[in-house]
Amino acid sequence: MNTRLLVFGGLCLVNAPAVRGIDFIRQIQLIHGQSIVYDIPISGETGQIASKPLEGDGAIFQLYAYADEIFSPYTIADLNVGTLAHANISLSSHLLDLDLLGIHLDINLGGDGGDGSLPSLLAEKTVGTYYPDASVVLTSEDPYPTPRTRADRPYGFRFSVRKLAEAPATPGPFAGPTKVRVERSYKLYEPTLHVPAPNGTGQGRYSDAYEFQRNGDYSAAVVYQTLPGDRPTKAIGEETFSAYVQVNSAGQEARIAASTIQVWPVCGAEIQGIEAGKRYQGVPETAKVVMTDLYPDSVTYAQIYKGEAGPGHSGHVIPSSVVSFNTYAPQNAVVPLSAITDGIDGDGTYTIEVATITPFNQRKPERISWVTFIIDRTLEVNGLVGTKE
Amino acid sequence: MGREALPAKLSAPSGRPVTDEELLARRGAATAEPIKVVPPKVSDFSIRAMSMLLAYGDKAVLLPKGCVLWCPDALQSRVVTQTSGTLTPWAEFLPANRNWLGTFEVTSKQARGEEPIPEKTMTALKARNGVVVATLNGLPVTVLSSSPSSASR
Repeated sequence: MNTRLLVFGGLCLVNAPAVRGIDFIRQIQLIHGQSIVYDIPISGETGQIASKPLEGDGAIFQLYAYADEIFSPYTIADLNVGTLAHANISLSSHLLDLDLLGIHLDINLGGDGGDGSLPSLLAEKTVGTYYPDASVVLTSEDPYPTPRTRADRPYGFRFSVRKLAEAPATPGPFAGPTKVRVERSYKLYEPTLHVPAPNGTGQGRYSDAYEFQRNGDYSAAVVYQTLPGDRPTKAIGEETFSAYVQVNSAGQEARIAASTIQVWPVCGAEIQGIEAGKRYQGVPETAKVVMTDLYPDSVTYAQIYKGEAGPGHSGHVIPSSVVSFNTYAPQNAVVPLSAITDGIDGDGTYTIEVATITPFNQRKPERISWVTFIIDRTLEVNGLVGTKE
Repeated sequence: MGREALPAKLSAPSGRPVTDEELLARRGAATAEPIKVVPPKVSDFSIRAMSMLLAYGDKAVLLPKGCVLWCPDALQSRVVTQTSGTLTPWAEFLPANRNWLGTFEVTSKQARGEEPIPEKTMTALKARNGVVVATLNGLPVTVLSSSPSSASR
């Protein structure tokens, strides 16, 4: 999608912002129910800093970073469509339907800025003598380091908590957390930029939340993504399980553990140039496959075999149709179906089938789409041949 | 691309794509009751809840909340909740605004509200006629009120 945006306009650089905020670590000290905040600026991507000494009930460490305006996917989309986009943003419409120079674009632009200039929270850790240690782990069939799964595949959830104090027999003043609340939240991604909206649209929580009052390990082997949307198989976004504990008598909660899994849509493939059931002399030269939302770690190919469509056929792989990706976001591709004369063995019914190999289904190919047609290479003339003497 | 990308032993493709109805049915079978969507919850310790902003001209700085010890009435407009200015680091905002912005180094005990800042010091700070930000080791820090009847925020 990004390549189409670069067709007109070209990328023009914004005036580099003169000075911007420096990323920092915020230390929030929780003392007698009040918060003392201390920001420590950091430079570089790794390193150590000495925090303010820990006092009081506990501390929350948060890592904040400023988004780089030049490299934000929303800025790049914005720059390329010129001033027309700005006129439409003022209508507070976040889904921009552009028909410009005959090219149709669906762009979801970040809205009115809002908190866009504030830094965003990258990581958070809560420590304290009386706070439990917790960890949330989400597992997927895809072994990629960042948890990710496909919209139609479930993932696993494991939660463990230690050092959780028992609730006192008689309720008294707040003396430390005695239970952990785990809830699931989600963020929808913009379908082509694959990032959440910067102004916070498309985010929410689910009503299912769990409370744990005992130390231990808990797990749910099968969790399906429930991102809201019209088509569950085309859901795109991320889900996060977060664990919270109460930190003061006012009921404020701090997050002690969280884990996020990305959900990518099920791919689709449309075979164009061949109509089902029609007769052809050979596979048309204009035949191609338009593939959308191919899984980031996938090999997709088309094969041709004799007979009606069905599972379990090992046909002849069409070499020009093989595409392979090992990346971080779904991809689109258009491949020609050419040079497949090897796979055609006489006249008859043939099927061209598109299949994909992903970490799911134990890396065995899964059928995506197919078309059955008839190859008929003999010309039959209904007529009489005669000679005139 | 090309045949090399395919695994050496290629098995026959099986199955067919899952439809939306099938996925909904599998999802429904896995959970006891339908899952509803509720609006997001803003964290109690979000950046908005824990920060305040000082702005002047087209520049602004993000500071811990409660770090301003004294702000004269005339300069109240510099303390803002929303700004369209560019956020700059404290190390650059302070020298650029020395004519109305000053700092006062506090001790840990004073930041925690266990020891009050002496009256004489406060009078001297107010006499400076500028905004005074409390710092600890040079970096701005929240100062809790030291009065015994302070509320829980």
